[in-house]
Amino acid sequence: MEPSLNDQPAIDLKNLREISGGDCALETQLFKSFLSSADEGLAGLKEAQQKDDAPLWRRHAHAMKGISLNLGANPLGDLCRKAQDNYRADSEEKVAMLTQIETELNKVQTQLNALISRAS
Amino acid sequence: MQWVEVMGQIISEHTSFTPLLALIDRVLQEQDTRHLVLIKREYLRPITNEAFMVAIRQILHTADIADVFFASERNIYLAWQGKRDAVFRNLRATVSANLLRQGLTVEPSAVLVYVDLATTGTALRNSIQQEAARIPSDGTETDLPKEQIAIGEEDPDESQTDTDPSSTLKATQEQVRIYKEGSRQKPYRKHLHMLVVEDQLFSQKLLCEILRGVRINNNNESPVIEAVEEMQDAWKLFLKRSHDIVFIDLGLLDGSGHTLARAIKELDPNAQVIIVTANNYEEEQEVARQNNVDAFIAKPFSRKQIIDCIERYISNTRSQSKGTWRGTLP
Repeated sequence: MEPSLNDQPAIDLKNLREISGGDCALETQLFKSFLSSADEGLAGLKEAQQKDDAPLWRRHAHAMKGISLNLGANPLGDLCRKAQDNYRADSEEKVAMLTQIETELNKVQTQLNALISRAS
Repeated sequence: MQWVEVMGQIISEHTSFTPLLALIDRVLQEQDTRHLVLIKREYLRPITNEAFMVAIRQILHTADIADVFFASERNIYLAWQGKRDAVFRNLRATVSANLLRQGLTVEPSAVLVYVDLATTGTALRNSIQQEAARIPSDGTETDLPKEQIAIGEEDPDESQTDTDPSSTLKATQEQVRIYKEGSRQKPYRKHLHMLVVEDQLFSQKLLCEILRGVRINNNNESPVIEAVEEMQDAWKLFLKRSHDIVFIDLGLLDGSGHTLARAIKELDPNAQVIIVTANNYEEEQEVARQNNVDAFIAKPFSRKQIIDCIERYISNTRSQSKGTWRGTLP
């Protein structure tokens, strides 16, 4: 049985911190960049679902998967991987996937915004 | 200029011509890859530099570095590193919506113009120099040049790339000659030249941050790192600069990273190509193997994975060039 997404923290920043060297200003920039890219990605997924555009859905899911994994937002990355793999799913299934992605993204956003606030 | 600061996100204002001319020079010398637009002042409502900055700051904040040049009486110049099309479109929309003179009906393309510095930088430089010479020290312009400068105006909105890879990634004989000449110089260059091809700005920044820390010479020289989002831009840049190492994401906006990797390897089997992708599937790895890429790194990538690739490259090149390079990696 797959572990529940709830068992994992929304973000594991170990790898990113190794890259940033603990530079708070740099991390803040990276977090903001992630948030901006993720917003674009989510909007793209919604558009793709509404237009029933499977290639567009796959492209945005792939993009969101990449940035999520690089950030260390592994549950979100896993959801996006599932969305990418199931890009031919019907509209109803995509709505369900979108809901899961949006919920998980909210957790990531909350955590990142808290880190940004703390840094400033 | 040794290094294009990718992570800076600094917005600088300039009121003299010197930094603008210096920027153009750097681009002409291929040491800088910033985008440049000019905004024609004649169409703008009266506005202070401060108010102008407030109007566009939010847009330029999405770029990595941005410079705004107010020295010219005719134009405001904006340069930035990062997303070309997105920033350009947002700038154009903001200028059209908020900064035009009242009652003015003019096409947005007449107000804000993208300047292709690679092809028209020299003409622009000459024109700016002329303007600088005409403006006395009190800042009043005495005699504006009547002739229009021959700026190669490229509108990113209209320069749609061909999405058929087989018809696009080609090189002229002259491009191949330039590439080969550059390639011969690789072991003797002062800086390690690396190209990042990644359409997701976050991942692009992360990778650039790792690369930024790489040192190859005992005198602590930083590498030259360039980052682009699209396959076509990457191909053109690679032909010009003969990068030592190219990092390629697979899912690019205008095509597959495999296509770019294959084109590079066909041009030069010794070129160092590293795929960095979230598509860590066996079939993707197989295509990469068939294209003879040098490494396949799955996202999330670590600092060590990237540095190991660079170390291998330096080590191989050093052995082939009788120890020209002295690598010191973090």
